[in-house]
Amino acid sequence: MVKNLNEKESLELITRMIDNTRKGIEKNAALPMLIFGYTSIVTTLAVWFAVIETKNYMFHLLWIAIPVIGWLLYGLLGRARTRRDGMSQSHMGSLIGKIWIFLAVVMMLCMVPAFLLRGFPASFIMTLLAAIGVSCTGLLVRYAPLIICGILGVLTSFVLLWVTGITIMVVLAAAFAVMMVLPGHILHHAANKKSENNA
Amino acid sequence: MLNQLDPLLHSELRLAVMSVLVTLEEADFVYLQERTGASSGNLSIQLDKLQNARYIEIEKTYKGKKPRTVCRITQKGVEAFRAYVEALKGYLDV
Repeated sequence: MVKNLNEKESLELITRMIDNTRKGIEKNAALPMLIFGYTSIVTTLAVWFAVIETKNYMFHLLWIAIPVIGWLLYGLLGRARTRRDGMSQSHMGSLIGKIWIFLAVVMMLCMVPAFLLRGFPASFIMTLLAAIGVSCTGLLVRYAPLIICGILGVLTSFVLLWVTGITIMVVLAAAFAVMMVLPGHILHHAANKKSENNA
Repeated sequence: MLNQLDPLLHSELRLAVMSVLVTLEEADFVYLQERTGASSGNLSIQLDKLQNARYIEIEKTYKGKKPRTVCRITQKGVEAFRAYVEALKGYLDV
């Protein structure tokens, strides 16, 4: 069936469809923040606990769990969502994805000198890179909580330069909570609220 | 003098599809169906019409064993959509 619209209905339809599509994009943007945020916190606390209990620094190899478990969960949840809602890719989402892939590769490269060089400030660099990623995402999607949480992450990363010993893990977990989990929940809640108001 | 509205875009489902695609880089058939609430048959027919007018391009691929239809708006489609919105504004004096 093809229904023709009058001019006013056409403009309303365009506005509604564009608005609904943007809300969907916002809701999707929260998922990677929450998955990687929680995975990072759990991994950080696991490394902290394992090193304190065993004094074996080989447990730092557990850091690899962040990209492995993060991508695995993201892939599984993303596939379930695609099966249900279909697949879409926004220009902005594509750009943000490329920025995060670049940052993730740099973070992985930073893990090499972290194991080879004594005193290499890996925690500072990783947190700074993640915080820059969060801030850039916020600036691109023009979402204030992401920008603010990203800036807080940048500030926390500098605190890591002064914190020494295993306590650094606790600060690191707090940084992940502030710059990824918190804005992820704010974004998810805001997108859900908009959807409810629209229904 | 008012510009004439593009008859191809002046229908509910085709306009809804173009409004979704203009916001995105690409979207598959399931996504468009979910967003527009259209039946598979009707959506297929309207997508073909938009493709014949070269407003969108359709790529049929497979994801695993499942067929997947991915749609993208073309430059011609973006220009037609822009002209349609401008014409609408003229009619409504916005």
